[in-house]
Amino acid sequence: MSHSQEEEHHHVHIIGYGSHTLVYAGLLVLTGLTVAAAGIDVGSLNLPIAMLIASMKAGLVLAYFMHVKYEKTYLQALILGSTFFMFVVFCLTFADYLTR
Amino acid sequence: MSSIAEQHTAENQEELFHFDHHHTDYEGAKLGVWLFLFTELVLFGGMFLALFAYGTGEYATDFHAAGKNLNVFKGAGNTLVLLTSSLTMVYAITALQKGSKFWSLVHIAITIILAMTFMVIKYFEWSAKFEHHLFPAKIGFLEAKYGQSDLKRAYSAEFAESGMSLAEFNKVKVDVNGNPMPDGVTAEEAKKYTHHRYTRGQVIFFGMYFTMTGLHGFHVLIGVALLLWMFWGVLRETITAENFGYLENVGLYWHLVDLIWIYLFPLFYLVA
Amino acid sequence: MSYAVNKPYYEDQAVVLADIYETMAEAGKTNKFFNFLAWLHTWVLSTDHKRIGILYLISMLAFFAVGISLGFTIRLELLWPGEQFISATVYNSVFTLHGVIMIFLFVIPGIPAVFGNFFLPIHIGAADVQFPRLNLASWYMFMGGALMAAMSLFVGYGANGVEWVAPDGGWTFYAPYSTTANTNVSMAVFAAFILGFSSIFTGLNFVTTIHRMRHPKQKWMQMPLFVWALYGTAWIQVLATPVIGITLALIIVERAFGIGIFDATLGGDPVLYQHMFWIYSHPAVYVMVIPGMGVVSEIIATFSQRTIFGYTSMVLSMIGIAFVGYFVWAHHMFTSGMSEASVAIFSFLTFFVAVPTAVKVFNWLATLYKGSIQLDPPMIWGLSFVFLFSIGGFTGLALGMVNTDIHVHDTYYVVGHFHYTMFGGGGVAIIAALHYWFPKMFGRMYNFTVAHVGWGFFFVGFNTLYGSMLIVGLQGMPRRYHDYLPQFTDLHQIGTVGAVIMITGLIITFGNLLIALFGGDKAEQNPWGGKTLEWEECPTPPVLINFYKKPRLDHGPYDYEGEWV
Repeated sequence: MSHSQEEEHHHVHIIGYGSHTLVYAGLLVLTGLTVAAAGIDVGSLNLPIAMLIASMKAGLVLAYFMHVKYEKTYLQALILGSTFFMFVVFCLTFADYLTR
Repeated sequence: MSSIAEQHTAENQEELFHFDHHHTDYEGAKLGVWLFLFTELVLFGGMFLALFAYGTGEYATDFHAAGKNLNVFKGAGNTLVLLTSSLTMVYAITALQKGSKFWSLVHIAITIILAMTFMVIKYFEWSAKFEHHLFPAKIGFLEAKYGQSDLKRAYSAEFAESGMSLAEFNKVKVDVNGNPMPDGVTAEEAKKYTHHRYTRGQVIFFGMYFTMTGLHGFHVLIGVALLLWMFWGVLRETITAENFGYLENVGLYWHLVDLIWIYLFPLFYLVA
Repeated sequence: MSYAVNKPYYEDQAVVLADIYETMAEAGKTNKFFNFLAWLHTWVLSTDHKRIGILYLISMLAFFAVGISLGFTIRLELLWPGEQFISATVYNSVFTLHGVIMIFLFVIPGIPAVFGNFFLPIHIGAADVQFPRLNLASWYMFMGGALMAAMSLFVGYGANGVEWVAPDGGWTFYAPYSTTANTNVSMAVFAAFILGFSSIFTGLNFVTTIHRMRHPKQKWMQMPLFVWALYGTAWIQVLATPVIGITLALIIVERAFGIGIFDATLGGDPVLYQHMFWIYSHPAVYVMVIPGMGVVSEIIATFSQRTIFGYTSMVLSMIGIAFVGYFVWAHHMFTSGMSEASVAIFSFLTFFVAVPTAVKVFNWLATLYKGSIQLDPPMIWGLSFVFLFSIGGFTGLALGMVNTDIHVHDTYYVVGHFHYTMFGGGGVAIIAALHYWFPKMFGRMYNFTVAHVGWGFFFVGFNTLYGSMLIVGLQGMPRRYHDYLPQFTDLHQIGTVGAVIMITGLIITFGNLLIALFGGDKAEQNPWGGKTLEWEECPTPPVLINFYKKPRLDHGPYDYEGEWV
């Protein structure tokens, strides 16, 4: 048998309409927040704040719309790990650009 | 121990090795799609890397000034369109899982319509840019239609010498050879001077803008094709409440498209 | 589908073929040509992982032969200073193509595409990979990319008075030359883009297969080290290759649309290209080498008839190499104009990658200790890997250290270094794997004496050629130079003589295998006494679905001394 894992065929986790709508509302709020925040100039904090809000939106989409909150641990670990990798590569590239 | 050649006549037939063709591995397909999403993330990540490298360094003010050319309303509008399409996407999956083929089809259809709306808004945005002579320098047919691109030259030395602020510098009109419009010209003559001047950082900003939103738009179009395929599948009931893996996986792709826009929006439209 | 359970996999499409022949006979078309086409289809349209592995093997060896010929052309041109028989432009294109072919069409697909495809499912007790059709698509993309690369050599030649169209800026395609040159850069770079996707899909397939299709009794820490090597490599393929994808796409966009991203006059930064290029291309060298390390682990354990020493540390070091390898890329860029701070950071990080590699070398040596060593051809090639790759690694230290690197950067020292690691490492591992698994794949055995002679020529020639490069590089000979100062002549000539000897060795080696393929003795079930699943439980050669009975898996992959490892 090529199937080596257990059968989770019929264990389907359905997220309801209500939950989705709630997440959507959160996304709308955060979008409004980021547009409003863009109107306030805090100098060098502008970019980090915008990225923070964007990441919160991304987190909501990942966790609920993309079902990651309910996925198996190994998949969550792989997603986090890959994102971490990209982040480190970014930081190392900035080791050059910020010190020129 | 029996030899290999004899093993295929094993008494216990159940022990025979066989290739399981009928069992689609739901979890495995999902893992495969996630791995593909990682590659997309890294693909766009490379461009975000370039964008950050330029925009947080010497070109910070240039990006700030160039961002004023972008329409926040269209950008925010597109954000809302994509977020809503993500919602209708998960509605479609939930509907199918709960057994409602009709509502699933409705939500997939709305998702497709919203995706096309996104592309339409994008089309108007880009056309507006082209009309203002903002397009990548080498595109022949755009040059033929709208005149020479303002992004063909980067006026950094002139900017440094001019002593003006970036906003003032951008407003000064030049002719096709880059000579600034002198004071006191007649309205007729002023028409020859229809171009603006942009510094290096601003040229990069627009270059990155077209490339990244262009690649993103390309992915939206692919998403539309996939969604049409899903519509067909749900309609013909090859995708059902028991066998919804395809729809869910296309949904994952669609959410990625949304995710990328979630980052594109503040970095281009809100940088001003 | 119906299949015969007891036929070798390369004959098992006979059932399908019989149907096709019958249909053709009814239609009145029964000549040899149509028969041949039908037979060809059962290979070219096959989703069987073993056949796909063979397809890769044939195409890759053909590209390798082309690459070797190009390399030999370089060596002939370098026999004396000045132009011998090709002009500078042609010479530049020769080494560009040599790099592109060897890297993208030989070593990077390398072991995963051939032996990974062939043996990964067997090692984990599965019938195929997770996505067999995607697997075939990977091979199609591989061939498509190769075709496009070939086309870039001559498309547009002569049109508009253009004299030379083949790309000539080196396989690294640095901006701004690549964004402005009047050659077929876009086509060549798009070929590399397609090849990148071929690699990505192979990696995606392997990660999923290893996660989902293992025999229930085979836990993660009971997989053969070859499988672990493929797993680590597959992750690098998935996470790093898209970066070169976007970099190359940006080259094409830059050439076509002039967006300015790498163009300094428009505000771009050419060093950004280098960053983005090497963010992939450094992990890529681990794609070339880690599978080889997996093969060497298998070979050394089998030919010492001993459990591999330190299985856990072997797994961790493999992951460690893959992990650290992501963070060292800018050691290719010390002289590019980066900030001094980042130069220091990357030099520091580069030294870390030597640590897990050393762990592996020590573990291999410890495995050999008190083992019952058989110096059969796979073993001698496997041991050569350890020796040659170690030399490559040691020469890398001078490159990782900034104060020495600025003297040897872009000299033949670098060329020697990467040939020791990529050819003496990755290439030798491919040959070792071929000798190890040849009897299993084809059911035939080759002549050991001839194989040893071939190895001898190769080993002597290789060290002569690349050792001379290390020296002439230290003396100041720059790389990618068509002409050179007279003082370097002797060493270049020694190098070319080495090349002749080495190529003789390669011809003997591959000739030996080719002869064995058609006329060699029938191979035994388990000629080497290996303990992984392909030797005991899978027939020689394998049947279409790999096993007759569900694999028993009552011992570990290195259970030579009765331990479960």
